[in-house]
Amino acid sequence: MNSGIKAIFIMVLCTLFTTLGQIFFKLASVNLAFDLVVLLTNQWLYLGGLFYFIGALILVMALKEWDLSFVYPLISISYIWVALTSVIYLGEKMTYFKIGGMLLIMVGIICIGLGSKTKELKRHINKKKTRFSDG
Amino acid sequence: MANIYSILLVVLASFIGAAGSFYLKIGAKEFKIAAILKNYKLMLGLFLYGFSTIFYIIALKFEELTIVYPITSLTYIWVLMISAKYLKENMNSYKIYGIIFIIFGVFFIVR
Repeated sequence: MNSGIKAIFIMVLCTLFTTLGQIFFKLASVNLAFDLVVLLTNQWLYLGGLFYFIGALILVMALKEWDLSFVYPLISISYIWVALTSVIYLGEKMTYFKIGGMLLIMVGIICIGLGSKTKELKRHINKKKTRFSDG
Repeated sequence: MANIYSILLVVLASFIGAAGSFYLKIGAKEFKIAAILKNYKLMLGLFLYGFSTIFYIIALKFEELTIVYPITSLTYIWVLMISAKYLKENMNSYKIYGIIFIIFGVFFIVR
């Protein structure tokens, strides 16, 4: 499989796990109380933690494989999933301000990803330069 | 306007989470699987991650997920600032545009 398509596929999977973790955390928060028994028997809390952890694990593996500048913009897919699932499964209302805010945040994350790329590229070019001067 | 306590809790959680990433990063430099429990920086990073989740879930109790989740993007800003100050990572115009977009986005969300 093409590395780019593979990265997108992996990150879609990663963001889906993260989003499901968020949905479960939200469901867990409804029964939140400062009571150890209530906390420890809150099954949504465990589910949320598990999905969040799997998402984070996939993210760490993706960051080992691909450049930060490529992975970061793909992380912002999670805002689309959270928006969709919150409306469908949690019955939350979507407003123009929320959509606008999320789009701005996604653009911001993509910018930060691009900003990290220039640094990585510079390092890559410098490595090549030293290799050439050695040989 | 979104619930002010929820907003403050997420801002706090995002900062603690960013501090967690910082310690994970400096802990990862001396990462050895056999000595993982003695790697205090890594352990502190993991602890801060878990600790931030507590504030996050309390914030979720009082506000919608479509408001609370987008605010966590502030983590990116904290990470950039901490990395620039303590890891001497470079700051450039792309990153600054990114910070501005995220701040505007969060204002739209919590208004």
